[in-house]
Amino acid sequence: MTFCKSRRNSVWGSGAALGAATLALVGAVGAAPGGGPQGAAEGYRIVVERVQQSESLTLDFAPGEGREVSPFVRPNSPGRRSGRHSLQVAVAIHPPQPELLGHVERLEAEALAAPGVPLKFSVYPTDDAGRDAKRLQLVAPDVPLQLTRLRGIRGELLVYPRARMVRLDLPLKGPLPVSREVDGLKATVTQSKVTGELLSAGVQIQWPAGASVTYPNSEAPGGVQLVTASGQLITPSGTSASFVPAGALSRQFGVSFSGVKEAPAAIRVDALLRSGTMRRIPFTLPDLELPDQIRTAPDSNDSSDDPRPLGPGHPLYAAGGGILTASVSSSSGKLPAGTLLLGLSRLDEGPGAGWSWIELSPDTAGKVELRSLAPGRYRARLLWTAESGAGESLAQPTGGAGPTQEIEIIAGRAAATAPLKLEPNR
Amino acid sequence: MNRRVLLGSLVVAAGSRLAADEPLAPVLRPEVTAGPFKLCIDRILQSRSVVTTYRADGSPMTEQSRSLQVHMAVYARDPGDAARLAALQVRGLTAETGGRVIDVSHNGGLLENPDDTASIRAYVYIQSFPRDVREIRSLFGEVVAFERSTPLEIDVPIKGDDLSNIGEKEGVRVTVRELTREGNNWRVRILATSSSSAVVLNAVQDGAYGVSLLNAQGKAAEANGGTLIQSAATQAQYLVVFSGLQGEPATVRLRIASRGGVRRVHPFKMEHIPLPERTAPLPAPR
Repeated sequence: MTFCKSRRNSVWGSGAALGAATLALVGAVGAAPGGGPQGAAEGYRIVVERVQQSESLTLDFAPGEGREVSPFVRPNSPGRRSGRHSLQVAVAIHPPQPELLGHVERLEAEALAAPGVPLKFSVYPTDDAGRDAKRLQLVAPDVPLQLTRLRGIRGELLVYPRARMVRLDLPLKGPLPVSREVDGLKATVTQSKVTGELLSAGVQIQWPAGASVTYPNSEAPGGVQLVTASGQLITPSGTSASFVPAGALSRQFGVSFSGVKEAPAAIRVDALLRSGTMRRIPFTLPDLELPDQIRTAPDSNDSSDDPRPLGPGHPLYAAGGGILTASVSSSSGKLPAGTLLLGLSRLDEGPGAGWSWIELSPDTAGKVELRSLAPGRYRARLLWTAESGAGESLAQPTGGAGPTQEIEIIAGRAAATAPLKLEPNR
Repeated sequence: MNRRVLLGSLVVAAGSRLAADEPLAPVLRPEVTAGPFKLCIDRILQSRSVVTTYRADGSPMTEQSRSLQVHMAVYARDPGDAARLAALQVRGLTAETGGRVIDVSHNGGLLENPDDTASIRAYVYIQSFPRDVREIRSLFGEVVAFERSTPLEIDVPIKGDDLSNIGEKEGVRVTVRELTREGNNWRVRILATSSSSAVVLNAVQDGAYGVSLLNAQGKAAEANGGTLIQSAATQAQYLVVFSGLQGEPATVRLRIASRGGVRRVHPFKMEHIPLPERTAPLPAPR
């Protein structure tokens, strides 16, 4: 939340405190908030204003560090995929009445990254605060790459039962130190010095036990500003603040104001003083789509990049299963030494089922046979990789396998894929 | 360094799009042969940002940005051919979107990798790549190489303050321009020049650009770093600082490659270079 300086001056005048027990805010508030998906928590409305996905993906073909070998002698091998995916969800918390905005401390939220796997958000305030709502950024720095829909978003809104804006004006004309106190919030100007157009001062702020003090004006750390004789407000050009250990009830600020062209009248402290036991109000949000305008493909972290033989323990293995044969040939008639990768995806697990790639060594006729394959309907693809230096170079679509085909495996029976034909590389 | 990457214009090529339901197959390293060289793609990095902002009526508005970086390396079939390489030129890069093949603007530069077996490494950066494309349709250019390259080791004898000696081999002449003692250090400045038909090339990655300072017993001083200024293809000036020389300097030695003959252009074209993809949706949380 930030303040509008000119309005605050005109509305607040020079009173030591504003309001009896509520936070008065300037501006039109109360209209039903528009925007994106939203949820309610006892009259507070949590509105999603923006969702940002940042994604970094790498396809790495280089061998590991220290194993750099010329491609003229090393065999070509599949690349390694890796990546990171992060999310930032900007939300606005609209209070049921404008005066309740200052009561909101923060929210805590989580979603589901996968069944039973919570995705916790870190919550940060934003500079994009408004007078109508408290705005926060929910950040999840490491989200599964596969995530395309954020489900089960739930959390709690933390709200103070009491909040009020306090203003303390500390005159600089008399002897120092000088103190003012309202509702237990006490500010003291411990020292002040004017050098030319530079005024430096020490300000101590103390608060009662159990209270929370924040300074809504982000341009004035400690809520400290200088009031000149004509009523002009000057924000600090420099501020230092003491460390506040847990449980401390005071903080010391060193502030300096430059460009002070007229007599300083007072140091002003504006602070939001909140107290009482925070209430936790649960809320939920509708699912959020995470748009991916490039069509998604199967998970790179499953077995699809890790060809392994079919045997007990393999998800496609079944004792007494069917037999699948495949073949690879070259249009030139000569097939150098190499490996055939057979990709299989179970159709009965739906279109999103993952792919398993099985590495097979063809015989001299370019044929391979896979036994004990679990019965069912599959999508199948073939990819050929030549051993380095194994004769002429043969081509298939760069990075791609042969066309996808559908096959059915029946226990005890043999089925065959369409042969893969390779063309000499030109 | 005379090696360089030139990034240039575009050639439009026709091609086909991957089928919509194509699964994610293991992807082999894209590589292509260009004369005695092989150009490989070592790494493809993709960054995407998708921002969905909700309007006042609740409707979403999505903006997306996508950038790519492609790391490449050129290898020589014969290690002796490596020094023949003069330049890697990436002339164009295309993508197929909406049924059309389009030029994609790009820039690039060299990647340094000490103790590398590659003749040259370079990257191409594409700041704005079409959002709905799953491959680079084509990347093309040429490798430019000299007809021959000869490794040379040229000694220049030193006699006291006399720097008039010249070392010369295969038309490459080396003169010592400065030899100064500064405490325990020796500062050596030499100039290598070749005839107009040959090109001198620093071919040594030893931190001293192939320059050594030896005493009368042939023992070398320790190199503390230096600079190389190649103001022309036929001229290279080295400034190297040495320490720990036992006795007086007797020889300045330069290891260098001399390249000459016809500059041959070996064109290359890679097609259907796959890009890193996101993965399948997770099962719906219960």
